[in-house]
Amino acid sequence: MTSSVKSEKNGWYNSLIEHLNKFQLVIENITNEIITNKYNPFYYHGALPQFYLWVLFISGLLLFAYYIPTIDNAYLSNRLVNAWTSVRYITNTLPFGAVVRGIHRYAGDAMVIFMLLHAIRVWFTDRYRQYRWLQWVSGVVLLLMVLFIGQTGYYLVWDDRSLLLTRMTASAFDAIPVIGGALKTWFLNGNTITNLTLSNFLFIHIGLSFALLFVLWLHYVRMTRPVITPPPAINYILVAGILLVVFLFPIVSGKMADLNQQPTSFEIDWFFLFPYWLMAHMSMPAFWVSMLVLSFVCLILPWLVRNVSPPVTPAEVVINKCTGCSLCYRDCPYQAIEMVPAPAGSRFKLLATVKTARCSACGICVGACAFDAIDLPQLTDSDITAQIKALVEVN
Amino acid sequence: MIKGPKDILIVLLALTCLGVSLVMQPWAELGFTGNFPAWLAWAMDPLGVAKWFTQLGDTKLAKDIYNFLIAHQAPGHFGDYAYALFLFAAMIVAAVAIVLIGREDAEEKTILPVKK
Repeated sequence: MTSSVKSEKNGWYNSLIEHLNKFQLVIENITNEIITNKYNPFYYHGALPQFYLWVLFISGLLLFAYYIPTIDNAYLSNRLVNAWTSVRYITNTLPFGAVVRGIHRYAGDAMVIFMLLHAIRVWFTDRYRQYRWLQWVSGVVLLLMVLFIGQTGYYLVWDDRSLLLTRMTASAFDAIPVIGGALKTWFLNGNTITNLTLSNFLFIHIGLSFALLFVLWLHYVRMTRPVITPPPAINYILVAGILLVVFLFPIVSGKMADLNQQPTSFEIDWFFLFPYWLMAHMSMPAFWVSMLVLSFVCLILPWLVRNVSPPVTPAEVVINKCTGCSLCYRDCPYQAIEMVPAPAGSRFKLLATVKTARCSACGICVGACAFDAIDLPQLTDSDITAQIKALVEVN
Repeated sequence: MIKGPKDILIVLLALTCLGVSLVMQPWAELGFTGNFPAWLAWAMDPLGVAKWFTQLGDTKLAKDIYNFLIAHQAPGHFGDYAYALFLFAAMIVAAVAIVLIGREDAEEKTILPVKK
């Protein structure tokens, strides 16, 4: 009774999800017809942002070799060497420098786009909750980290936009009660903008980028065979797309930042800098509250939406039949089976056990077991046989 | 020797690679910084297609690309941007070739065991 009331309440939601799934299936089928399922990017949507992460690491390494994280250099005042001039050197003088800089910038944008598309797809295909909650939560953390890393990339150029963004961020941190002052000091690496500030920005930009790898590990830890590499043809197209955008929209820096001046406007990159647009259009408390609420809602989404599909009834091991062969353990896609020492008196060394919170009731373990030692309580072997017989009779 | 569409594609791809390499060579000879119109004209000459352009050193395509990049405030090294464009085209060709060559293997083949 309760469940049917809930279903009616969420009728519009379920209908939206159903329509999105149907639409997606149509697009997927058309794509399969054209380029076959092997090269269909819909089947690699999680791997696409990760591919761009490798592109970002490689291009960033090349840029790092020539980047100088200072705002001024008194010892070389006749021939000023700072972050802005090093970026100018990379862009205007270094062979391929402008192209590598463009690749780095647009690969970041592409990564955000593909992360969002990945998130939208796992949302409407209902693959983000129950036994997949960790992937969703770590994915939201990854997205927030990528957005912040991207923003620090804009500070590093040290043009007039970088200066304005730095000042806006410092003010935003300062407005947070209790910890705001400390956050501002951490952000600027002191109380004001100095050479140390740019060193800090570079550290955050690179340090957080490597921290992404740890969160990526969390993202994958409960998947036995995550698809993390698209096929070569897709990789070629992904890089080709970036190269075309680099050619069509060459990257240019603004004027060198001048601490004695206050820039008032800048060209906005909606992928990374939308929080600054919000900051400019609302009060600081409202900005922080909206950012925190939005992030929190995204994080707890798996527990907000409950009755799109019925709850999972996990698989059960028949202790008398399990030989501890580990076939189900190897085949489980969600690492929901753990092999533990068999109880005393058993003929076998190991026994399979199901971690119920991770089980998706997909039935792969049932198929893997050669001894009928694992069952789905709501879908037993005899049920499946009956269903097959019924289908055969109908056809 | 050539047995089917796969072999034809492989030969075409090899020829494309050779062509792109030949086009890239003069640009490399110019120290990767060369004047893009001159580079393209230089590349066109040994390939025997210079006659398609108005005059040597003043090709329409090269001028168009050059003017486009200047209009978009691209920094120096127009050759780098042109190379990026060439690489874009080469990668698309490579991706299409891979998909076409692998298409047959990618088709789903479900073989049901039949007891005779």
